[in-house]
Amino acid sequence: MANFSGQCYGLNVLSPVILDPDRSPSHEVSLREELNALPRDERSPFSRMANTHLCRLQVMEDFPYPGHPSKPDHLRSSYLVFEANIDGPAEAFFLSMATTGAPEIDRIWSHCTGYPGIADPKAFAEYMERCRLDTNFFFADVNDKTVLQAMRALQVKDLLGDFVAAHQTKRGAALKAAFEEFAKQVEQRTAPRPGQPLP
Amino acid sequence: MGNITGKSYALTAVTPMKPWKTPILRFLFWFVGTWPGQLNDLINLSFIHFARWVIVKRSQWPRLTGSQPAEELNYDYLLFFSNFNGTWNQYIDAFAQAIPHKLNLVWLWSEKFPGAMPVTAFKRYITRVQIEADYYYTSYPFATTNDVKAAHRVHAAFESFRQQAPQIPPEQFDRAWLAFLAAVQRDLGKMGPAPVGT
Repeated sequence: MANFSGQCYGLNVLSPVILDPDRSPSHEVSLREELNALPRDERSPFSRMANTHLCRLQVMEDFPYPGHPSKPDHLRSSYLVFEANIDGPAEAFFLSMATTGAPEIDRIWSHCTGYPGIADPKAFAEYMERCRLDTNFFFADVNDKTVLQAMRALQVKDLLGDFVAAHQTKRGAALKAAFEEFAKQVEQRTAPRPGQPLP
Repeated sequence: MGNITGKSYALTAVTPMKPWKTPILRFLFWFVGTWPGQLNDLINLSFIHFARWVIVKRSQWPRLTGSQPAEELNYDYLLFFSNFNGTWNQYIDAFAQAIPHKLNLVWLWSEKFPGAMPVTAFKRYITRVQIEADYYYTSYPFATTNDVKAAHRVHAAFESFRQQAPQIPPEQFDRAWLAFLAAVQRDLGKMGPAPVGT
């Protein structure tokens, strides 16, 4: 299976949503409200799990129908689809979801059938593994760098561009001194948090 | 919009396949994955952060408890997830123009697939089989794939020059600086705000 491209892992999880005809609003609706309220920036739980490049969550209630003469298929349960592009293997990521991702991860998956909670990270990881599907073909344009390496590199690119623009008239010893001072400042600066816009 | 965060768009397409066809597609994916040169077209497109195809057999939908009804399906399903930069129209246009034969090889096995070209029918098909994201997160919302690749080149060159700089005499620094700039200048473009997507 093609779950890895370089050091990047393509994670797919399909978690069935709880069917409860007596509940109002339904679990699908509550789940969608939960996802809608989830921050997409550095306040996201996936920002705290700093090995998530990109990810999406979606509630799949039924199949799209491509048209006649194909036979219509209908799902009997809705599924929470979780697609994530992460550094390293799924097992470590699942444990990180249960610890670093709490409490948002717990609120989201509490609408899913068989969900054991996050109090026992091992049980959570086993549950996610039962819902995980292998990837058949995975493409990652940059597959040899982690999220933190990417955040640092983007910061350096941005700062260096500003430095070059601001020091176009400097030459010789003055330019060398300015660059060495700039290099020192860059080294001391912390990279932006994942999900955070550049200042 | 659910599918867009920063400069990235999340496309999800779900297409049915007759179960007897899925082993063929599995073999094709294995074949392409075994010969990495086959990915050059995708790498050269350079606007896809990550993309993947997942085949879900009709018996494979997770069933975790006895009370959850078992799915009874006619088809296996092909899930396609892409994370790309630019608008939906730009993406489908470029995808169909650049690698129509490879797209045909992948989706030929799906019901009602009209072919990647002409692109109008392909777009109508993707619209029909696409599902919306409820949540989409990216660690670098301000950066395109090209920005990320450029940043890694700049970072490597910067680290190397930073270590050399103290040993360069001031009278030779201008020349070294210009050589460094010539190497990284095309990667220093500003990462501005994301355009409004469609």
